[in-house]
Amino acid sequence: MRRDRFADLITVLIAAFGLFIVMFGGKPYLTQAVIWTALDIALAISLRFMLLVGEVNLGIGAFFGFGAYTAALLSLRLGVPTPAAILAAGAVACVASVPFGYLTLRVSGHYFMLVSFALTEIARLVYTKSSLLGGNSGLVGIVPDLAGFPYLVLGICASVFAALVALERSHLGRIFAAISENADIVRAVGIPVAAVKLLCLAISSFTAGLAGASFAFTNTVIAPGDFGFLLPVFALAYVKIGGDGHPLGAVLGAVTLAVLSQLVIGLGAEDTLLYGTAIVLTMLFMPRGIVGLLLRPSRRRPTGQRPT
Amino acid sequence: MSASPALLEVQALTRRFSGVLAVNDFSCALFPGEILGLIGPNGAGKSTIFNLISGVLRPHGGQVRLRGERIDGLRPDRIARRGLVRTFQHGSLLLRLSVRDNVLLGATMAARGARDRQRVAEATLDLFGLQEVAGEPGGSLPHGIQRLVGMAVACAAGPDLLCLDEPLTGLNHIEISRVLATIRDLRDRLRVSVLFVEHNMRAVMSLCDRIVVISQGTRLADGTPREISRDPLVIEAYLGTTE
Amino acid sequence: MSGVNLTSQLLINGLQIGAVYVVFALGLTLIFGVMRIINFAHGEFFTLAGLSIATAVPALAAASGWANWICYLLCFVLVMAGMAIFGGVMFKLVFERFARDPVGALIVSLGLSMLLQSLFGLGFGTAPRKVPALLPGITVLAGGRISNDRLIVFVVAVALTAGLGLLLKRTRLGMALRAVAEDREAALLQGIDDRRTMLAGFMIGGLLAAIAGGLIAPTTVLTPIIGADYLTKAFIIIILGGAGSVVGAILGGFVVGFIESFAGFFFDSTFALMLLLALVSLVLLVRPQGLMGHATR
Repeated sequence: MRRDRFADLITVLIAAFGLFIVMFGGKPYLTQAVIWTALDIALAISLRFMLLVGEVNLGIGAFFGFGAYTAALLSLRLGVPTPAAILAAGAVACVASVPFGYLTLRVSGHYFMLVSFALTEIARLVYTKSSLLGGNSGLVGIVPDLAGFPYLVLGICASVFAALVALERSHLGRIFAAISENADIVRAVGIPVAAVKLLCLAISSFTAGLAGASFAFTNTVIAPGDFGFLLPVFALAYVKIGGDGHPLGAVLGAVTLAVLSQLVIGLGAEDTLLYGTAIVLTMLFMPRGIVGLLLRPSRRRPTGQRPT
Repeated sequence: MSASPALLEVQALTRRFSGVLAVNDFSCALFPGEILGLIGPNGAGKSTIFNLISGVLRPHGGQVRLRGERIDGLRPDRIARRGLVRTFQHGSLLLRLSVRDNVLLGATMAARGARDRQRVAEATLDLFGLQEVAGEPGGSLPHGIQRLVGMAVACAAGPDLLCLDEPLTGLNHIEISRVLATIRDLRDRLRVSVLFVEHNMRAVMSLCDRIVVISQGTRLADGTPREISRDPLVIEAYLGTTE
Repeated sequence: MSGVNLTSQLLINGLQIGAVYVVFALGLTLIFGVMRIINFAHGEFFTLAGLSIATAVPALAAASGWANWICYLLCFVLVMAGMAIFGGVMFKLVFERFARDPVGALIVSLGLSMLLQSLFGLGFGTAPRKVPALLPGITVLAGGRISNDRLIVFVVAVALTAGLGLLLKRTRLGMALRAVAEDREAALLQGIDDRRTMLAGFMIGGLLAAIAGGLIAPTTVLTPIIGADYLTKAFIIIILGGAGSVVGAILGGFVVGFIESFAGFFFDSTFALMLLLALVSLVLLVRPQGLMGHATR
């Protein structure tokens, strides 16, 4: 328990540090780096949320993309104010995930993994063919309509993070942990497992949609290539390398890979080589990730033994 | 035998696996407040019948009724919400969660809100004598205590009918006594009816109000422990082995 | 042109495309059967074999002056031997510890897939490659035209599928594979060494993907990322047919081949994929275990 609290503290400190850089750092390059990392963290924590029920949501690329395109269209074509566009984008991603989750989560087996992978890939292809979405070139000029937009993004990412961690530590999180360990017991006490998994997906897709929308306004340009299967793999890398035992892992993973990829670009090599190697090495030699090295493995889930 | 209508009624239950008839026209009834034992030689079909009743498997024929309403073919979680909760022989508790968290999970659907859930959980821990180990992760406990936790999880769901899947396997004498005493307690204090599958004949004989003997997928005999112990068909099916 | 009609042509195309998908998907479903995992790097076996052959054959032909098809056969055998070893090494180093851990296997194989794709790009370059035609010319048959190379691919794919079926039904290894896939505990009780069986299953599975890649090298242009495309289709195939089912993979493979052929002709390949996704959704709704899978209850 002590170590979980320690990790919580580190997380808050890192967040504060990020905020400090944006407020006083001065260089726009630094601010951009912090914003990118914050978005990566939001993506990673969304993916991690579904890992709590034992499912790997490779479709997070699709939902991130739905969020991005929805926000872009609302802003560009309908002039919807930025915060509303982002919120609506999250809602669209969430609603889209429901029929998908309904079909794939009630079936035992690995169908969710497979179909979610296919979903991201096929969504990407559909974007390239859609003239409404700008086809291969995508959409440009997605400019936020309020000052201090970086602070809004940071606020969104921090809220997403805090909300997902709070849910994880609630009774719902307890149910998630139980499902991931042994869904039969959960069913035997009357809990509708498929419905709970669907709820988890809906929440995770909502936050991914928010992150995608924020990405659209941050980048001002979006294209189908941004939302392909590499996206979920990057998110998975952040979670696994940082360590999935504590939310701090999502933060550490995103930060570490952000730093490493800067080094790699400096050497002229490719991003995918770095990420692929990092994932394989981590899975083989450091399966609990950085957080696992820092904290002794806790026998209890963060939901802990104290009554909530 | 009670005159009130049966809590659980099984009629002509049938199930095949790859063409082989594993359960063949099996019928039985369980009345409120009863402890009913399901026994039979290995491979007789006890586990399959248990799984058919609890919704893990779909029957190919026949009906299962709980309080008069059909539950055959329903998903396990729906059957549980109607009041039939089962345990599993291998793993009825979550090893990575604490005992308290396990029981809180069990109480999820039966309780209204967080406070009620806490209350049900504490009461259940109390009933099972698990207060002292409440903070320990399930996986760190001795086998006998794990079984009790498994039963506590099922009980926290507030069942009318508790179905126990071989609750005594692998336990020593002291642990067995404790489990049997707890089952009696559940029936006497909480009015929970109990159906269980077991191999331990002495325990079955001492605990059950009635026993149903299964052989080759069908009912061989049905009666009180005394009647069963004298039934020539039963003795023959077991080849005279009683513990 | 006499003797050719559209429907027959599309059917023939579908059969030929489908046959390759079948071989590829069989490999994936075999690995799933014995190890209960999905290998996301399956496409990389395909790509590696295909690119290797596409590089080696022209090089050998240029160096030795032998006919294309001789070079092809030689390289094919050599590359497949190499791929079998590669599969064994991958199993021992990476996959063995993730047997029966689908999430772990997913993650590590995704990472491996990215790593390998990256290496292929560096090693082979991103320029598309293709083996020049082995047996130039076209055969007209059953109302359609098919290039000789594609006809050979079809025949070999069918023969291979039949061979796999025989292996599974008649040989001891095949029976061990089926036993482990069916019920691992029971197989262990019968004395079957599940580690060695999984190794064999993984190697055969990977080899099937490699063979598929080698087979299409003369007929299709190859790039380092072509494996991902085939992988998506293989996922669709095993959902349609039922994970772990050999017959399901065969049926699913041809269904996907036909849909691609017809929908691809009347619309385009993206539409074909969307149609396949819709079909998968329908199957998941109505018969989630796939055409040939066992019901879970």
